[in-house]
Amino acid sequence: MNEIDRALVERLLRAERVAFDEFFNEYYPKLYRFVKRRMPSDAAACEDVAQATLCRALESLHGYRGEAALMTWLCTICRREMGARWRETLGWKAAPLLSEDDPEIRAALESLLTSEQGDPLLATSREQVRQSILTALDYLPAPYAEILECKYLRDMSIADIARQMGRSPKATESLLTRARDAFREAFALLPGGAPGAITS
Amino acid sequence: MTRPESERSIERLIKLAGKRDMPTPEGMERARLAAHESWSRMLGTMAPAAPGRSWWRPVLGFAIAASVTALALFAWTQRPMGAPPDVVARIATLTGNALIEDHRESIARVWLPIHAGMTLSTSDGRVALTFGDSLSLRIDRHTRIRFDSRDRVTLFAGVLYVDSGGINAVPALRIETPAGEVRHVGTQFQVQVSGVMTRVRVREGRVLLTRAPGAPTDIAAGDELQIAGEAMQWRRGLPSFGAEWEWSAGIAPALDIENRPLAEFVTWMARENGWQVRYGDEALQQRAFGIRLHGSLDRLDRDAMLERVALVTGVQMRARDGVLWVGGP
Repeated sequence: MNEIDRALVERLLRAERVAFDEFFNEYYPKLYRFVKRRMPSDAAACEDVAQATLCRALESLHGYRGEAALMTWLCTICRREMGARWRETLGWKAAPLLSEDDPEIRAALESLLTSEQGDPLLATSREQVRQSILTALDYLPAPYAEILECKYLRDMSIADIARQMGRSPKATESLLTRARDAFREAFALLPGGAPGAITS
Repeated sequence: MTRPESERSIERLIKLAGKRDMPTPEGMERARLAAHESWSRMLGTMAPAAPGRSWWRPVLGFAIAASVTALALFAWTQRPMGAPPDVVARIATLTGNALIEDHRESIARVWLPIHAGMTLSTSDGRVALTFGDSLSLRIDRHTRIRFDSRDRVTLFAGVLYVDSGGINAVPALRIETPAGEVRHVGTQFQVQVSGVMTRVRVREGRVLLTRAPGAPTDIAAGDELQIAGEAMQWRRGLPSFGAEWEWSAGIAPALDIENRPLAEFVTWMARENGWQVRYGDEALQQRAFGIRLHGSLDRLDRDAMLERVALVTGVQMRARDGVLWVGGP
């Protein structure tokens, strides 16, 4: 994954407009949700923080070495932006720590989970499970999350998804299988993601 | 877990989570411009290209020129203008085809502002518009309507449904028809025009029909009347639910359920469909205010909405004979 991220950054440094669009379309919504999970009551402020993060990241893009996933690098900048915002705004509480902030969970999510982890943390509520699902989707490569939503949320057929994504039906099936595997592994790491947690 | 079981489990999980949050389109656009500016600045301040990378300069030059052009274009679009055109409504949802006529014809699309003087025509499509702060206007297939001002429309042909959002909602909308002017007094109602025939159906509240001769005709909830030219043909009772009303619920903008209580969804669903609500028991009715919903109901029909909400809350819901049973029999 870091190879793909590094290639995207190199294209951005070569001033490829298409790369800018890919970068913005994938990471701005993800950063927005990253912030919103931590300050759910102020959507406008979440947009501001996500925007400031992207601007700062683009201005210091040459500092990205590809040692971590691009999303992780962006989240590090985003945490600093949130911290600065909280310090500026009286009355805001400190950023709540979420499970994905745990360095170990983060590291595992970054590597896209080459093996299933045992003993996942227990979910305490349906809401926690839901947050874990959304977090897992945001840590997946964009086409994985997109195909899972098309298939299961929008109930689209493989033929329709293939048309929408500009792939062959066979390649779409294959992408869906990989997306399911990646999602299963990512979700298993998060609270409420124990295998079979909500299947009964 | 077998593979099909696992797939079903993933499907349930993703349905439970619902649609992921997205920033607003305005926020996206603002962020895109700001990010593009940062990107251009970064490209402009990078060290000169090393030997062998001389291709970089024209690309960089082009990028800077393009960004300057984009910024100039943005500044131009944001420049002070004369008096802005009077926006009287906006398209909230749209299915099928509809045309907007002003000085020229254009295809209707979601979030398009409607200015005074514009005419909207549907063929196989239906349109829902927001009108003022709280008024929802739904336009059926094969309808032609002109937006005259912030409080007046002219219905030439077809069917128009109005939901004023509550008894005390303002402003009062006046609808010109061949039979005269129809004006609501806080209500949900429908007006149909076909040639010289005008039909008014009132689901909630009250409507006044002002014809040239005589005093205004008061039409109450549950009434339907038909006028041909200026002569009233008949008046009869009409239930608040059923086939005559269904198209307007079908085009209604979906309720944004994110973090809203189940009780609010139930009330909205019942109002849109003209149903009464019955909870299985009082405890559930109280609990419905504490159960929070997540996800999205976009692009779901009525039954699918009920199924989705039942799935994520565990509370069964069923509509029968004009009653929405919540956790009921």
